[in-house]
Amino acid sequence: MSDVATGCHEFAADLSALLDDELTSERAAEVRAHVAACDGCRGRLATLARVDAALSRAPAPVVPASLRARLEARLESARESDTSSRPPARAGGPRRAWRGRAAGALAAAAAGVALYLAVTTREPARPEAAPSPVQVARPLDLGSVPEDELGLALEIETVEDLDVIANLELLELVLASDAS
Amino acid sequence: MNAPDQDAALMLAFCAGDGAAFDALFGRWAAPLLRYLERMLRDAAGAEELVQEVFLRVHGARQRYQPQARFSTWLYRIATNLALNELRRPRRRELHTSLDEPEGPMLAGEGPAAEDVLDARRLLARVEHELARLPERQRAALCLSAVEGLSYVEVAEALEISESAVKSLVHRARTALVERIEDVE
Repeated sequence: MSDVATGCHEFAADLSALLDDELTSERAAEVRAHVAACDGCRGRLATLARVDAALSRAPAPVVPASLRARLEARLESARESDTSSRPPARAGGPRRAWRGRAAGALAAAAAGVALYLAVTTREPARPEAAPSPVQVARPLDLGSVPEDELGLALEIETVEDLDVIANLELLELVLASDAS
Repeated sequence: MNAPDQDAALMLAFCAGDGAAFDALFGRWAAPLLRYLERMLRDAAGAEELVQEVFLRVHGARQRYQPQARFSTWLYRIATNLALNELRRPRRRELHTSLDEPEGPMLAGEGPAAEDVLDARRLLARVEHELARLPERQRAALCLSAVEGLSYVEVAEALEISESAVKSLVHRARTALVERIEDVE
């Protein structure tokens, strides 16, 4: 039999594991023997078991019918996103036509940037204003680039497309400023 | 895996293209996950969101799933990581610490009359309240072990800690719960 006065501390940590059936059979037998002889540990074990029982008796949550539908909607959205982010086929058709339009737009934009830089270099520097990426860009010399290579260089999307658009807007601003 | 894992078999079937197997996994695990996550978050709507997140990840893992652990252990590991991440968000922390104190008797004492005083629902409310105040990992370990029925080895895998650490967490969680509840008696 265990020494109750000194044994409780030794057994306290294993009361929980006894409830969870996580002790070896030898250790479980030792703990049970101590509990049988010790009112304090018996009471503690009963209390621990009561807490577990309260948690286990809690009614299971009802899964809302809408939860599966919401999951399906998110899966569908993920599938669509996955499909739309996949690059289209590279060869032929509309892609070629887009290349031609983009090449023209980029050439016009580059000319605009060159014109803009020519204008801004005549003005005094403004140290308080940080230069924008467009202002520090150098004009592109597209004259020496074969059309096919230009087309390949434009086989890009999103960021480059936005640059083209931004350069076109810049060109309009410069031309408007020049006209006034 | 010792015993045959029916859920792993379903997951493998899903990986092979059987969409009904995914539905079956949802049917089997949505409720236990919701129970676990509600206890972790103390927020039914948030728990539902995370159940969706768990199944999104299960769905997304269909190309690379390997049944190295029990399916349930893997599922609870995903759920636990999501819950712990959610609980670390400041807004969640504020919500969590503003829980109202429930009323009612706590644990019954040892006397015979005390059993009569015990009101199971109010005791449950008290236990749930104190459970929510436990440190997150203690709460997770106790819920997974005492409620969800995972072995310490499985809890260790789910929480990515050692088995001895699980034993310690569960012991401290139960002890803290009991002492806090007894203090209010």
